[in-house]
Amino acid sequence: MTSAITPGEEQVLRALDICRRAAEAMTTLGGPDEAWRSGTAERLTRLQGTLDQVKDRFIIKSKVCLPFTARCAERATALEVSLRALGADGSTGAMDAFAGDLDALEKAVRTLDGRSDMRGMAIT
Amino acid sequence: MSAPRGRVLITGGAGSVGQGLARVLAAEGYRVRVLDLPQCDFSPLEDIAGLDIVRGSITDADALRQAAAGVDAAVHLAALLPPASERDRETTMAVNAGGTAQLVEALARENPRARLVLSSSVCVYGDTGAHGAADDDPPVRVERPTAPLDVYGESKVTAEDIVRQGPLPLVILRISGILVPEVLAFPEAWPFAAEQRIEFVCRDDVIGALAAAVGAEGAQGKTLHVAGGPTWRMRGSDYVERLSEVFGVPADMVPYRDGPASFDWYDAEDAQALLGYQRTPFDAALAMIERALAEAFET
Repeated sequence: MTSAITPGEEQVLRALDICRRAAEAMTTLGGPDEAWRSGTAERLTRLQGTLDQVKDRFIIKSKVCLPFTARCAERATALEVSLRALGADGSTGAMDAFAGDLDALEKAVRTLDGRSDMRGMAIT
Repeated sequence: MSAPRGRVLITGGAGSVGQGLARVLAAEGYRVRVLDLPQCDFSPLEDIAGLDIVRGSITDADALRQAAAGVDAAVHLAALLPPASERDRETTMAVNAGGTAQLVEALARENPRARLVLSSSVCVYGDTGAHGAADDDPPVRVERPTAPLDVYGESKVTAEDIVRQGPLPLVILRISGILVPEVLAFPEAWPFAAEQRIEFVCRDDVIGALAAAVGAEGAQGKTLHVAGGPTWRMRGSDYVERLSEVFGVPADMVPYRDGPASFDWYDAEDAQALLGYQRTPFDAALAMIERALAEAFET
């Protein structure tokens, strides 16, 4: 017995998907140098790992998590937009904008991870 | 803080119930000693004045000797619980029954007048007919014969036999399913069927029952139920719906147990008269969880 996917889960999965696609894009992106691309890909892979753990947590299905999952999805969408800009224009400005959006997404994911990390069971 | 009283050992004292019990007993003037596994987190106990910690297993004779020294009473919580208890029968019996035997021996050697409060379980009854159409008449009484369904229940039946055959004054508490009023995850499956009668109890009331059992005059030699009381008597699906509503999650997120389980409604009149522990109605426990959720997820 499993419920339909909840809005919170959907938002986490969307963020996860954007991180995965952005990490993949780092291998083919023209413009930024290799060190920047590999460093960024590592950060995106770490984010995927965290989101992958978070998505299976019980509380992610809860409405109380929605503000935090929504923030992750918003930040991930902003990152997707700046990735597109980075693909079209590999300038320092586009790199800085992407890095800023990645910082913001990392912060949102850290917050969600912290809030949703519950120990123990509600009944024993 | 009340006037100084005796020293109480709590086995398994680093767990959720043990921590709360240590705090309540210390506030009542008891000197508290906690025995639990070395890998446990004892930090939540650090602010309890005069608390004494023994790090070791309930099956370790040296740790038990140290834990039993100078003790006037003991509350025995240490046990392997489901689902871990069902993985390896031999280990579960060694910890839950063997550990109880070793504790009785260590206490009897140190102080044969020390009262032992055994944390047992309603799992000792097994299937009481609370699931399905052919229901027996609730509530279940302590005189009902035991017929455990799982290793955990079997280990608790054996532990009860051990303490009854031992020399110590005793109180046996058969505790129902415990709701921990905090922001904690749901289990992978509910340990009861949707249509089954259940009567869970708030963790804080369990702590109250255990604390009262340490000193209650009339409780000695008795086997008593610890269950939530009338407001907690419901069907499994009612419980899940209410709890899911509080957490804001779908009620069908976790499957129910398929088949009979060891939960029912329990006669706790004697226990309530002697220990006065039923203080938290079901709605009040849910309100505690709501508050904890609001605090944990405030934006």
